[in-house]
Amino acid sequence: MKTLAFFSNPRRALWPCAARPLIFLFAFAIFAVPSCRGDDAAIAAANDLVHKLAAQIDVKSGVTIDLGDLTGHMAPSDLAATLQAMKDQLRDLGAPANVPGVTVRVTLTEDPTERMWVADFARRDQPDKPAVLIVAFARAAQSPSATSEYPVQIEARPVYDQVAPILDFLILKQDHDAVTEVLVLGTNSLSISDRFSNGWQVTKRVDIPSNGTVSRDPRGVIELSPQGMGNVYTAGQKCQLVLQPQKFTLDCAATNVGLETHFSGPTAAGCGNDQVKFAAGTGDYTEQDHLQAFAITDASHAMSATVNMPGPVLALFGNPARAVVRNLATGKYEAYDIRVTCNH
Amino acid sequence: MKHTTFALLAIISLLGVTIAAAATRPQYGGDLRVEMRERVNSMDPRDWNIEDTPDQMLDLVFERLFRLDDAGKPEPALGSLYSVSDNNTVWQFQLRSGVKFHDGTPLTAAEAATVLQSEIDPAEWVITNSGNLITFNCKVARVCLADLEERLATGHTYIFHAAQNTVYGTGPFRIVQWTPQKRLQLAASENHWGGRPFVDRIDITLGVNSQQLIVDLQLRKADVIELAPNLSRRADDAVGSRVWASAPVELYAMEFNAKKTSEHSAEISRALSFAIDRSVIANALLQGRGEPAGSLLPQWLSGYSFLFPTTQDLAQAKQLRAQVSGPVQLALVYDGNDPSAGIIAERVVLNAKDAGIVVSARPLRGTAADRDADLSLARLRFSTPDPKEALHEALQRFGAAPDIDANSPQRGTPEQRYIVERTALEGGGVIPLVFVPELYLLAAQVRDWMPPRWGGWRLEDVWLESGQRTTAENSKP
Repeated sequence: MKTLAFFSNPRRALWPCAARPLIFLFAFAIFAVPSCRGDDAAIAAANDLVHKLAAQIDVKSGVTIDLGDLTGHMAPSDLAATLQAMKDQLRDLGAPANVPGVTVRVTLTEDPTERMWVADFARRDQPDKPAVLIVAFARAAQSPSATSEYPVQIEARPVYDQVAPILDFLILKQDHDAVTEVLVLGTNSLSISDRFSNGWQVTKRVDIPSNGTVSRDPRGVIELSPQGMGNVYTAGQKCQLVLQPQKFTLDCAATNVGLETHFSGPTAAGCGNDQVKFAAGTGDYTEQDHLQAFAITDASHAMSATVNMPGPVLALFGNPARAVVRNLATGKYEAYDIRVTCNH
Repeated sequence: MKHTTFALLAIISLLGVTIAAAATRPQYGGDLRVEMRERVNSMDPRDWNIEDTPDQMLDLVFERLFRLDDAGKPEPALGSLYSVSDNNTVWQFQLRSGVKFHDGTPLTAAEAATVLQSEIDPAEWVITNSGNLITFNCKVARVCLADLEERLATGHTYIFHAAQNTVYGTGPFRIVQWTPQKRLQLAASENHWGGRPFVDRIDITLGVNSQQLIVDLQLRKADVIELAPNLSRRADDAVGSRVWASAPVELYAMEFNAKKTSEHSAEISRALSFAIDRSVIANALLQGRGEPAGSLLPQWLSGYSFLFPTTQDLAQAKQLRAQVSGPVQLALVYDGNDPSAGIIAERVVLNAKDAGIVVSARPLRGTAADRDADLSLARLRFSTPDPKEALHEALQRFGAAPDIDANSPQRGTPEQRYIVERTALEGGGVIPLVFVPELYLLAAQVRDWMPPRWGGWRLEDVWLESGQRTTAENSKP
């Protein structure tokens, strides 16, 4: 269990993700590269908390950390890694290993916008008035997936999100697994967003002219050929799309062809020579939803386990398989790239 | 770095994009029947008593420049931010084009600016218009740093049009008939800028008592009812229905009369706080729907409220009581129309007695005697999920401590808010008791009931599943 031993080293968690390839090259070549799935933000914030603590109490007299999680979202391994990181940090600051000293209760908690570590402890001069230190930090994102004994495994990979509704999207560029450019169909525009070091930014945008029809449950779909030609369909409109390196245009006209025409038939994705189609649940928009793959030939034959999504699946398209979900926790619209792997 | 070109990755078949079944799509049509306990006096934003009308009712008919999204952040409604000066003293908002009031009058920046100025103190902000822009000029440095978009997304900053003694909004529903304290009938606004609502009509009946509300839902005379926390277990009897609960958004607290403080007020307040068994109030009296409160903000809003003790400590209460010689007798008043307030007040009386404090509770009578009571059972509904704004609301409501200076760079940190809240409670003027959620009981046919976490309605997104209701049920008795 080399990987486990690697993780059990508490100092490992203190290394930022960016430095891990170097760790791999120079120090631990015989071990697996440490995953960045650990809660680095939580550990960094916990280290900040230790520094604040050291400014308030004499850590050389000993400190006992009593760590808890009120959010219920942190994995036990991450919690253990955080505790160990704090202990190491205290030791570096001169705290003796086996002297209990001051007991500090450290609690992971959250408000609607951020997570926070809260430390409370009794001061020697005012034992009935606890001292409190708080360090806030960003929330963590999660990627739903399911593994099972089914022949097919599906993974829904979040690639993009925004506050405004997403009707459809396509991945335009990716660097290995990291999506760097997406084409996003909103309720009244088609835009290209690029990922920069400080997050996503809309770099190109064309408006879809209003045809006077506004729906409270808008739908739309993008078709695009490898040559960068295609169509965008919204309620009552068909727009010819040109998406080429120097050209990004939409030419819209009213159409009598209903959107439902484009939504007929199952979504299919290959897995070896077998074909599967995807389906979501039948709840309403208030309910968490799921994705599951079924056999093309027998719709009652589940080919994969269900993948729980963080909200209702509003759109589910094929070629390539993709879904739009409204995250019930954040209220944001999230674009998911759906991938299929074979378990055999 | 190797980028795969967009052309290679965006391999979409022109033979037909296909979709599989996603979540159930909404259906249009039907009448939604809502029943409430509250008696509402006004649906006119110009009235002095409009403050008592729940926002969720006004929001059906009237709109603001901004509204709160599901994360509690302001998002454009009738307006959007156009520009803001570096020092935050001049804000310009662009009005959404093509919007009409329910009488067909176009919404103009001139009318919007006039209406907003009638609602916002001109000593703080002077509001003018030019073309399709509305300009806010800040006159008081202390308010300039506040988030103006947030302010324009909450409170009574509605934009309306008055003509021939009638007031019109731009919201998703228009008023068909309004009988104060009894009934509000609304119809879908066909041309709402956000799309036509799914239901055709909404019929809101007011002033129904808590027990009758549940009976009406069971008899299928209502689709949505307000549910009192102390009756929430009875909801289990309503077959096919479901309860929707917000996060705990209301605080019940005891507030001392500032005019009747004595040299022993601090000890009495602390003794009373230790004497109260909040756990019984939350779990038994409010049937598990409450959350014991030791702080002004609930845990989900602040993240730190667990630091404030809520457990009963009778020994400590008696010890503090003993520091005050002679009898301690306090009069407590509460809202007699609120069934939860009555049972909470009764429990306070019992717990106080155990600590040697005599509290006599009675409902408010609307007389001068109410103002002479030593204690009042206050109810505060948080209107925002923003912790700093929610704390500001609580501090303003209870006058417990000065808020953090808006100019302070620390205003946004949880640690600073914790210190302010602790200081406020150490003053002893207010004793938090219990947090409660907003509760609704929904009939089976009600779909997409998806208000934000902090409560409300959003009835424009609700739809009714067809086939669930018979024709006879569609007509109100």
